[in-house]
Amino acid sequence: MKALKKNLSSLDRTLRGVIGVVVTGAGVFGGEYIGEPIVQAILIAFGVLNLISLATGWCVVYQIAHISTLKPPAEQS
Amino acid sequence: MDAQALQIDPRLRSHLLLATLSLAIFVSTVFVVVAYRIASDLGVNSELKAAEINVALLSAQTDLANSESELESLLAPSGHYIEELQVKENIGVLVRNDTDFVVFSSGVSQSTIEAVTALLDEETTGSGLIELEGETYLWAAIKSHHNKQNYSLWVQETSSLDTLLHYIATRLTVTSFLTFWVAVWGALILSGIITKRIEKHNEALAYMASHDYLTDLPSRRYVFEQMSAHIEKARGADDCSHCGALLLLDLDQFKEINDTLGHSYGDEILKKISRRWRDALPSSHILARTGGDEFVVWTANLKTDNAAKIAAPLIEACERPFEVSGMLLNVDVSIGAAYFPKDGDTIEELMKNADIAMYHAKRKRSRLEMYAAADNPYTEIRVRLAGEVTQALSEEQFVLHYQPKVHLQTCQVTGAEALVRWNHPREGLIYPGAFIELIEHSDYIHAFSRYVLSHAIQQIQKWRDQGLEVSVAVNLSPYNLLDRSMTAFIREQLDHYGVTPEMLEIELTETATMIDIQTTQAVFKSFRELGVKLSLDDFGVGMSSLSYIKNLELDCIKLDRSFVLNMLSDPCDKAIVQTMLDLCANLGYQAVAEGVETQELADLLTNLGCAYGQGYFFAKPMPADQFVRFMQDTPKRRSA
Repeated sequence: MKALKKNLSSLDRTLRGVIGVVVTGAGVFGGEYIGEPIVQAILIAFGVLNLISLATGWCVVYQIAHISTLKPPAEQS
Repeated sequence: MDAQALQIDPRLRSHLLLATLSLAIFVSTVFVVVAYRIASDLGVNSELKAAEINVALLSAQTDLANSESELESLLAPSGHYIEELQVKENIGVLVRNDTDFVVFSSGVSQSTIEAVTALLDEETTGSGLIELEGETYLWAAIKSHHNKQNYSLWVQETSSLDTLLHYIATRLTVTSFLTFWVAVWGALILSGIITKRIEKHNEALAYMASHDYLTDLPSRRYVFEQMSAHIEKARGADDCSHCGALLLLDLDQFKEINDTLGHSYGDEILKKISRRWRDALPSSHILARTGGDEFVVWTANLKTDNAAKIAAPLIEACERPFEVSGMLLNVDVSIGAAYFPKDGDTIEELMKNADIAMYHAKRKRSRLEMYAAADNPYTEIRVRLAGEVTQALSEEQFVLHYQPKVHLQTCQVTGAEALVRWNHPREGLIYPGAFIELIEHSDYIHAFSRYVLSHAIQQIQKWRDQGLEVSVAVNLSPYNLLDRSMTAFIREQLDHYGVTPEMLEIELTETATMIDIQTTQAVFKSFRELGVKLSLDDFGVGMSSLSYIKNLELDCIKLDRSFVLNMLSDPCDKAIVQTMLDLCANLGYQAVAEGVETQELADLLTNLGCAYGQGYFFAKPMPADQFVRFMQDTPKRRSA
């Protein structure tokens, strides 16, 4: 399961949790304010991605970018 | 060290990230600003257009009204005109015809309308935005086409415009938030990919720089880096926890393999031997190739007596022959070891001392030698001197000293042997024992021998000009026999200085003549044809067979000093000298005894039938001008 190797530190995970909740909430409930269904959908998608990161401790972008904020870095040289 | 240049910059990733993020922020800022401005400009323009239409309609109505009251009723709040316009904001209008003006206002105070009128010139037409006590108003004004006296002004609050802009701003904020987010992703991915790629290239470059392409062993640079790091760490530590050992390995007979079988064979052997050595060494030891057939083993944290243990498997690895293209080849190794910090606390010193030890191992054929400071004191100089030969030649630092060859009975000087001294600017006068061998093994041997020959011939001419007829003997190296143009050079020098060939004598040691009888014979023949005299030096200690002496057609044989010196005490030496003298007499060669140091020796040699001698009893080697004085004093000495 190399693809799902954790790459987020606990601080990073917490931050993503907060962002995920806020953004998903804004996407779901802020329709009137946002006024644009496409943007609303994208916001929800982004929020959900962050929530996934919160749950798994893994970020797909970090994976592609070879970044890891986890203490014993697997990718950093 | 310049290795720094190849180390990966740890800030590269953060710099790249910062750069891409800045770009993302810049791009999204430009996008938001431009989008907002376009939207607001469009909104303002459409609002102004609407106001212009409204005021045009108002003006048309004004033209139709015949009286003020008619106008008032037209514009009254109860009138239907404004309602028909369906303007939701607070508006105000000012209409002036021939007689008077009427102000109608719905939400916009009369004072505001008047203030606007005051700000605008009464004749102003067109439309625009105007700031009044912190509020923005939209206005449009027109003059009737039919009646130039009619002027209509439309003033409207900008609340619908504000709503529009707020609406745009909201969407732009959310969109730009998303754009920025995506840009951050892009920046992260891009910087990650670029960094990874650069790191990969850098690693490849660093590997190439620190490894030897042929054997894939670490290079000189790598091992030096490791050593300097270790030395740096060990600085100040008193105990032996940081002791290290440097072993310098040099292959014997490798040059022969390269020269006879070609470099591909040599390369193959280097590969095979490095593989064997690598397998034989524990991984904590660094094995590196530092030059052609030179390797180095560096071990940190080692007890002082362990170099032999490290060397043993390396030597053992060379005991089995190497198979290259079906041929079995034997290669030996000579190893010199130096300990850190006992034998040197810098890389240079360790390398130099290991080199000296290795040189000893080669000479003694002992395979392994530890560096010992008490070794031949010249050895250390030797390494330094090797680099200074060219300069010494060009600056004429080599000087010739002359030792007289004397008729034993008459004490008459019959010739001189030229002996080289190196008048070194730093080391002082250096004797040939310290440098001849190193020159013989370098590329300078031919240049050096020519230098000596040329100076000796020149000296013969100088002495002749001073009225002294002295023949000079010059020692040639065995390697000079391989120099095909040597005869031509001697002839040219003799001609140049106008010296007759028989005044020059060429001395070759027995080992010199052993190279190969055909070559030696050919060179001797050419020397003989030239007319120079030939003599064999140090006779009796080499490995010459008597057939050589028979074939070489010499003029003179010099008996080695080792026999002569002990003749008085050792009957064996005396018997040998006697036999050699008989041999010379029977073959018709002149015999010269070397090492005549006492009167007794001179007398004994004379009794045995030796006519000529050379040695400290008569004179030590001396500079040319001193030699002249010696010659001038000779008659006095003889009479004394």
